[in-house]
Amino acid sequence: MDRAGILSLARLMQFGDSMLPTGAFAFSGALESAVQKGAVHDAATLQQYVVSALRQCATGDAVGLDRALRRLCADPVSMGAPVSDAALSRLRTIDLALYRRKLPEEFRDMMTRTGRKLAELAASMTCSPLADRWMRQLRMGSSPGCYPVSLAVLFAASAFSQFPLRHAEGSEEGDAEVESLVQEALTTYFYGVAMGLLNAALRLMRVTHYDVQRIMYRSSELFPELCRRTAETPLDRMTGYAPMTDIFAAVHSQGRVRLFMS
Amino acid sequence: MPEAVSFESAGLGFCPDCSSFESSRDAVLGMGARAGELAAFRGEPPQMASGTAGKAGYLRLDFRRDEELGRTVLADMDRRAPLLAQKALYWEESQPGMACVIVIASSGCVVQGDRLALDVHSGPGSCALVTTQSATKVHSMGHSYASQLQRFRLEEESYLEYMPDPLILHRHSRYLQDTLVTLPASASFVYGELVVPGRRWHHEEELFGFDLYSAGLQISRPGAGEDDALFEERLVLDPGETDFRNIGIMGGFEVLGSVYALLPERHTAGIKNAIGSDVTDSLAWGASVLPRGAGLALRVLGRDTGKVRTKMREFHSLVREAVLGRPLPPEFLWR
Repeated sequence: MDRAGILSLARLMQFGDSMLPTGAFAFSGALESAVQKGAVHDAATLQQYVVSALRQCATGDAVGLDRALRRLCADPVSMGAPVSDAALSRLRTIDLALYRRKLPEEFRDMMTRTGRKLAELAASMTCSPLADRWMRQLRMGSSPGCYPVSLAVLFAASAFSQFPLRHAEGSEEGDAEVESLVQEALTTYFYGVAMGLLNAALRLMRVTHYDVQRIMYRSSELFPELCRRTAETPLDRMTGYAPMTDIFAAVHSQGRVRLFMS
Repeated sequence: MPEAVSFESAGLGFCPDCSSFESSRDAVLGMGARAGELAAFRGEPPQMASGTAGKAGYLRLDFRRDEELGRTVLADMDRRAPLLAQKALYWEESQPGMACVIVIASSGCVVQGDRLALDVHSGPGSCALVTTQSATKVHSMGHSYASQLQRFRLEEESYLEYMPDPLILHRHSRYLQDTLVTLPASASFVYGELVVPGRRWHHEEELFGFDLYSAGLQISRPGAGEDDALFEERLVLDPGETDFRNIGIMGGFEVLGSVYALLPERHTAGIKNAIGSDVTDSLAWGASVLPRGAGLALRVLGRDTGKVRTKMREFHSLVREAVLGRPLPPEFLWR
C-alpha cells in the first residue's frame, strides 16, 4: 500500500468511527418504538431491523451520496480549481431530492441535524474551501443539509485536498480512482447506518456486545450488493418500502417517554 | 382544455400532459419506458397489443363550482374504454354540494397491456369525491404489464377526495402507477389507496405472488421553488427481492393502506393527534407530517382488509371534518 492508500484507509476509519461527533447517538431510527412495541426483542429481530434499514438506504439516501460524490469528482474542483456556484447548486438539488423523499418527520430531523453537524466538522477539520462553502450554504438556510450529501462533501474535501485526483476524467485510472472513492464513502455510510442502530440497541434492549458485533459482521456481507443497487438506482427513481418503519417512527413521534430523538 | 397551472418538475423525470386522450397515451407509454424496474416485463402480449383501442383507457373529469346551483358540477368529461364515468351524483348527506363520481372500468379488471390515464381537474372553490364501483383486480400476466397514470390538478380553495376501492394484485401481475398532484396552499386533496397482495384463499402461491408493484407519488405546489415538488416517493414491491415478513417492512401484516391528506398546515397537528398511532396484533398505524408543509400521510398495516379500511375511513373523516366542518356520514350498509 502506498502513502495515499494508507492515508485513505486512516480517513475511512476516522469517518466511519462512531466517535465522529455528528450527534447520531441521539437517534435510534425508530428502533426505540420498535423495541417498546415488542417487535424487536432479540438478536434475530434486531438483525432484521438492521437489514431492512440498510436496504432502504441502498436505494434511497445512499443514491444521493453516490451521485453527489460522483458529481464532485467530475467537477473541476477535484483538480484543485476554485469551488463554483454550479457545483454547489448541483449538491443542493440532490440535497432537496433526499429531503423531500423522507416521510417520517423525525427521520428528516435526524438526517439534517447530523448532516449539518458533519458539514461543520468537515469545514473545521479539512480547512477545504469546498467544505467551507457547503457549510456556509447550510448556515444561510438555502439547503437542508442531508447527511449523505455532507458525507460526500467530507470525502471529496479530504480526497481532493491531500491528493487531487491524479488521472484525467474518463481515463481508466481516473475512473477506477473515482469508483474506489465512491465505494469507500458508501461503505462508510452503510456501516454508520448499521452501527447507529446497533449502538441504540445496546441502550434499549437486552442484547450483548457479542450479539451486536455478530450482527454487524453478518450485515456487512451485504455491503457489496447494496453498493451495486445504489449504483443502479437513478436519482429520480429512488425507492423505498418500509411501512412498518414509518409506523414505528409515527409511534415514536407521539411517545411520552423517549430516550432518543427518533 | 387550457392548462390551468403550469407543471414544472423533474421529480418523476417527466411532465405528463393528460389534457387529451392522445397526449395522455403518449405520457403513459413514456412512463412505462422510463421504469427500469419493468425491464423484465417489456414483451408484447401475443393477443391484442398493449395500449391499442380498448386497452388505452382515458378519463378526464373537470369539476367546477356552479354558483347558481350552489353546488359543484361535472362540467366537462372525456373518456375512452375501458375507463368511463356517467354523471355526478350527490349522495353525501353531510355535503349536499359535493359532486360524487364513480370511475367505472368496463373490462371488469386490469389486464396485461392496459395503459390507463386519469386526469382530474378541480376548479376554484369546487368540492368533489371520486371513487370506484368495486375493487380493482389486477389480473395475472404472462406478457407486458399494466400501467396507470393519475394526474390531479387542484385550484384555489378546492377540495377533492380520491378514494378508490382496494387494489388486488393477482399472482404474476405487474402494475405500474404514477400519481402527480398539483395544488396551491389553499386547496385540499385526500388520496387513499389500499393494496391487497393477492386473493387469500385462491392458491397456495397467491399471497405476495405478484411480480411487481411500483407506485410513484409526487406532490407539487406551483411557486414553492426549486422545481416546486413538496414530497415524492416511490414504493416498489418486488416479492423476488423483498422479504415482506421483515419486522421493519411489513412485520407479518399483509394489507397496506395509505392515505395522503394534503391540506392547509394549520390542520395537521390536530389530525395527527386525533388519529394517534399504535402497533397491535391485528393493526398497526401512524401518521407522519409530510415535508415542506405538504400535509399528512397515514400508513395502516393489517391482516384484514376491513380493519384497514375502517382506520383509513376514520382518518378520512377527521380530514373532512377539519376542512369541510362535518365528519363523514355513516357508511352505506351495503358497502
